[in-house]
Amino acid sequence: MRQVLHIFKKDVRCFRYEILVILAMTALFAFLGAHSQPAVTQYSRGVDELNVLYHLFLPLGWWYLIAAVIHEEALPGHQQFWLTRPYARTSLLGAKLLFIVAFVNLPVLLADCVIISTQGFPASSYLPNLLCRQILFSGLWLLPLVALATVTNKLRQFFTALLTTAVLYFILLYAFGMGTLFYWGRAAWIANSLFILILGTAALVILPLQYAKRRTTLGWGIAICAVVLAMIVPALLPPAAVYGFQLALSKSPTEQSSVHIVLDGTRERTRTSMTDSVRGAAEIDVPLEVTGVPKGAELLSDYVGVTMESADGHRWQDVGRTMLYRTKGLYWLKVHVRDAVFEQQKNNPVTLRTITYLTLLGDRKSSRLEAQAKSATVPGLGLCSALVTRQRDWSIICRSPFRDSSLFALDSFLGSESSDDTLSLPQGGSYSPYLAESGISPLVATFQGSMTVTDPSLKAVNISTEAALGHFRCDFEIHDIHLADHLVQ
Amino acid sequence: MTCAIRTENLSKKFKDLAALDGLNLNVPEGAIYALVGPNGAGKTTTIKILMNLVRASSGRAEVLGIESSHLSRQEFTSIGYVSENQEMPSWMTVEYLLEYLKPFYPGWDCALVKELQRQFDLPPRATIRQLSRGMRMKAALTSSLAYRPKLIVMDEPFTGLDAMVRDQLTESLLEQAAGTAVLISSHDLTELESFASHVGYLAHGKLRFSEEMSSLTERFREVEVICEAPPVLPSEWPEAWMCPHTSAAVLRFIESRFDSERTAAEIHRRFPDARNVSFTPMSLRAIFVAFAKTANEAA
Repeated sequence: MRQVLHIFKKDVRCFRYEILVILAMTALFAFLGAHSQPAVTQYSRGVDELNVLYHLFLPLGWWYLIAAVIHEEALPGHQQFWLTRPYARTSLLGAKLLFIVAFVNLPVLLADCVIISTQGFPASSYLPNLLCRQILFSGLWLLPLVALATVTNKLRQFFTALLTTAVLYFILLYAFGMGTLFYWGRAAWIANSLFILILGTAALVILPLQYAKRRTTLGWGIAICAVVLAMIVPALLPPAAVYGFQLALSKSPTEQSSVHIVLDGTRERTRTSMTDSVRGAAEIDVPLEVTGVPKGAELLSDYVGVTMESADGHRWQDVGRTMLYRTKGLYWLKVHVRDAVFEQQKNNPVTLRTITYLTLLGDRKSSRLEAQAKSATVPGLGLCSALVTRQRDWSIICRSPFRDSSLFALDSFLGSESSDDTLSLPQGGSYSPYLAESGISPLVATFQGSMTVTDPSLKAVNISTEAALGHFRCDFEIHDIHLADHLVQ
Repeated sequence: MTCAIRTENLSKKFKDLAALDGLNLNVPEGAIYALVGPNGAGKTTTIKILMNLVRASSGRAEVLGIESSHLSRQEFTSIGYVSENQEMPSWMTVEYLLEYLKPFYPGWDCALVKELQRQFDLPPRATIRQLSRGMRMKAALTSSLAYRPKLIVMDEPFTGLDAMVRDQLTESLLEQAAGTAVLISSHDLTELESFASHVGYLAHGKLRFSEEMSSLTERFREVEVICEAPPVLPSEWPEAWMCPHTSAAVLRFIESRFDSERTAAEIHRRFPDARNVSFTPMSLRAIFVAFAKTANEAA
């Protein structure tokens, strides 16, 4: 321990100016977070621009400090003076980790406390969340970078590797359609967990390997494999399997035997209220008759995968973004079919087979939110406020510390019936079991809405929340339908 | 004989290039061992393996009785390493460097540090990056002598230094490291000759000879033979006679197994018309050049 402190003191002396800059940056981060409206999230929903910019520079500052302090006793190479000095490698590693905890983790922890306290959430009530956030923050934002620093010996090499990884990530993400990762919706936490797990495990292997054996080539091999795996494994997992896993983890699985879904042959062909076009694909809305849903509850689709088969045995899949939704009290199945396939099969009788994961929503609770009033607490959503701008434009935001809400939320104007001309799907409903998200900001927007009203006398908005009563799988088949009959015009 | 350093069939390959090829090296305790050889001979590679900076491809290397690949914190409290290529913490002042290193060594001698600082005239407040090359080497040597190590390993410590600095370094090394085993690789053969007790010649990754300096200088002589007529070199030329060269009636070569009576008899047997034979002692530099030439000719 004495050597740990000795090396730590030396590093503090060496990087005293850099430390001051990072502490100042973290203080500014706390200030911006404490005064930002609306709150920020890792998904950049309504993030104010300065904070977005800052969320780029602050990690760069952390990474610079981490790389610099590790490189002070660089591991690759054989010309460093410390290699032939009586350093205990465990003490060296301990000193570096202590440095990172002292000048990255601790300031971030304090900044989190300041941000959430200023935003109206007493830090003392969120100690487990603070701890969880530190673990996730370290696992995603720090540990992999510490590992990268141990296999490089110059800042230029470190940042080149980092930039290359980022470029590779975005190329894979967009060029090869791995953006589907973002459509995991409420199960996105599984993808994030896998990402952190792979990178974190690799980092935990590389760190002792480098400090004990200085096997840089092997370290690089592990790092490259981990980055590639972290990028492709979550993207390659079939969504059906992900939601199957989610269902297995669910604390509230329910018997699906009472719920039945069939084609609603009685419903007239109609122009549906919700459009969700996908380039190069035809949008099909199939009317459904859903029975067995308990009174006061409604269904929400977590995932629907559709396989279609024509009478001649030709089979094809939907192109994604398939959903089961309800409007005006009626359920619909929205499917996207490639234009070429649609043109070929639109007038043929087709069978649809689905893999459907559903959630039963209920226990509706409503809260009234006055315009321009102080923030009000909405149970499960945190602090909410409604701002009216230019007289008719309403902006509603709810924010909560550390994690998205597990409740589903919808807004509507008091005194007016829900306008089904513009369908809105419930927001939120994160299935993440963690007490915190892995983003940089400790604040998460649990609900955001905006609308334009025609009646200027409206002064309040209603926020409704529903809880997930149960999750279940409910596959169904629809026979002999003609896609052309259900094309959304 | 107890050895501070011992290697057995030590080999190191960089892809297809053999930097070391079955090296067997023994550095006795208390010896000042000069490891010499041309560029690319494998001197630095040997030292890096001994200091556990690179891994050997095969063979064994022991330092102070410990496998070099297992050298740990404990052993490094007894080993000093100074190299021309060593990256020192450039931001540290000389004073802070010595202050920082002190707790790492149980045997740190503050009085000795002061004495060395005075001898070397080291500016305490100057940072390492502000120091000249010579001053940096002095700082490195000070930080390596301060704990009275059992072994000091120096890799080309004199390269690029002026004569005065070299003298200062040598003097301090001899004065403060008496009884300490020293392995030193250098091109500065004149400097080494003045204080090395043992010498090893490394070429193409192999140790060509390794012996006490006195025995080496004793067995090498530059021989000049003046004959009646221009001599003809016999087809069976003794292996120990290196670099033969004739000019008119004069034959010159280097005898590497000199024994005054035996060598003279052998010369007269091979060159019966020899009328004058002279033997001149050789400097280490001349011996080194002769070896290098022979190796090049053989190659």
